[in-house]
Amino acid sequence: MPSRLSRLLIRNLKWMSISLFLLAVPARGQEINLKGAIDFHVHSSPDSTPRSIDADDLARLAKENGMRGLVLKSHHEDTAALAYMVRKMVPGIEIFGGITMDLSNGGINIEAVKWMTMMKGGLGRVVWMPTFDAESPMRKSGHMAPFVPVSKDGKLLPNVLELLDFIAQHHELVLETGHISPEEGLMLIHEARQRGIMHLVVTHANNPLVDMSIPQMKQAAGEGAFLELDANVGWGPKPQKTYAECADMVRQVGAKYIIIGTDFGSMQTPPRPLHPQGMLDFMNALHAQGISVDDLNTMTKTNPALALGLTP
Amino acid sequence: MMPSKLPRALMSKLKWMWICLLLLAVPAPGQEINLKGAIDFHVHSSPDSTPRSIDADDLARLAKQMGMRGLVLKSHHEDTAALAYMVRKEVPGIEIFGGITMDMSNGGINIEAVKWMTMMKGGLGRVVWLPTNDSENHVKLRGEKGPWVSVSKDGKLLPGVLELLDYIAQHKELTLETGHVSAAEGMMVIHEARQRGIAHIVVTHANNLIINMTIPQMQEAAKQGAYLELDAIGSFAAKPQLTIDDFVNVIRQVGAQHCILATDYGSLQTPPLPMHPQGLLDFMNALHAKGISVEDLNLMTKTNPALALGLTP
Repeated sequence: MPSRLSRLLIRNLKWMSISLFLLAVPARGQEINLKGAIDFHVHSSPDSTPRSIDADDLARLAKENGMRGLVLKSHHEDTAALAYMVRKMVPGIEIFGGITMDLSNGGINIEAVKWMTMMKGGLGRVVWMPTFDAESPMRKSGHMAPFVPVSKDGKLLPNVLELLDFIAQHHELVLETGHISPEEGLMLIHEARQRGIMHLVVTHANNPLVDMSIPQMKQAAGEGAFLELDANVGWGPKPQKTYAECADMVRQVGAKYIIIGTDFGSMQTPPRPLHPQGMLDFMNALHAQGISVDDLNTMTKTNPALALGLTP
Repeated sequence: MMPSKLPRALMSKLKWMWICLLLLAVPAPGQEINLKGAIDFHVHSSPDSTPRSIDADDLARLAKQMGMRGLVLKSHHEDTAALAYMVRKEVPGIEIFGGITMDMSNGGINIEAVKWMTMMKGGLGRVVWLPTNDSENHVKLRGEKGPWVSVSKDGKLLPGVLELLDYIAQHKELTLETGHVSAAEGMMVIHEARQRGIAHIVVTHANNLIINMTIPQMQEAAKQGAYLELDAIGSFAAKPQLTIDDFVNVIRQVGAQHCILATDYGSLQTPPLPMHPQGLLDFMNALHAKGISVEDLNLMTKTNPALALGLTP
């Protein structure tokens, strides 16, 4: 027979377990964490500009933090082969690559996209319209250099339309707007939908490089595009957009249309945290502005998976 | 105790056997065909946009085990500088290099692409190949109507090509390769490249039928300071284009000091080719069997590839 003490302990344990269970059920849903999160906008090395961390080391870190995946972005190089190597070196995390339509990749270049889709592993999944070499940011800043045009007189150029047709035939691909203007982005989204492109993302819609208005974001969402909001924009003592502004975008556009990425990886003073911490900080900052954990999970876990054609 | 007669006789014979063995062994290290210090200048591997026989990191491990010094990774469609960085990180102790072709997937003749490649972390993007599969010469040879990337018109190099040569001339770490442009275009490229001060020039698989340089052309290219790359695949492919005698003839007439031996292996063929290191060794042995000296083989697999990459042999 068990002693009186142990009987007492067992009886209490039962109640303690029940209380813990009751506490744990809502807590699990309400905790802010990175489990299953995909960072849709990652800069890392090797790259042609200095970056804060190598892609394989970042993959290890993200995996340790429970993240599901990363989309590797370089302004100048196709990252599909890099994604393959990183997956081989760090199994257990879903790494994807893509290509920008910048000058170093030949501008609007269907050949480049075509060969990327054939890269071993099939991990080249994102096509960004021009970023570094986009016309719009140059016109805004007044620092002109050779650029890759996507529209003229309010119309998308024929080679852009051809590219859209190519992407429409490859349902594994995601089309991102890159650094083109909001007006160009909206034209692109409209045409992309018409031509049957399934996965559309407005690249850092909250970044001053793009600077979409809330009505424009709503219009993009209405056509089925995801709006990417990046942590980079709100970070630091002099943010380009405050967390309150970012939270306002989430509320007005709706979390179900939004993807949260970081756009971290550049060398800055003071140094930024690495991407997983940056993502978590952004989630906490938005939560402090009243965005629910449910919505945060939608924007960091469900939507990025859907945009990549994955099961959330 | 005195040793018996028989062991004594054996021992006195053994002494002579040892002396003979020693005499044989002294010249042997210099004469042995091996891969120690060799660099394969023409390697196809995965990840690539066409199926390849082996991943670059696995090949690097294999090449390192066989004592090789390095590999130049080539993709027809993608810049391999970032891949070279990752492979070096994964397999330290072997010198892996990358490069970029001026094919359509990289924008054709594209200085921007070369510029950003030179800035890739690690600085391992070292080779610029003129158009390969998309060159006008190769597309026409395949009997296709295009599109292609032109490098010349009416016997003159195009302005875009000359600008590219000027850019490469400013980057002494870069090696210019002729890719799949025609033999005549290659001669113009080498001449202009020299005039503009490009330090490292290689004629990509000079005697491959895609290029088919004549011996006088090769001699002239060599005179202007270009290396002639000769690739094993020419006579080891399932349907060989060339005999080993063809290669021996080139080496004899052009001179081993102007030649680089490489494989161009990595494609999936039936029957399968050996992996690149074995391919290079087979090539060396086949040439040796036809009278090419080990010294010349070492020059073409070790010294010259290093020099063409600006390395100390």
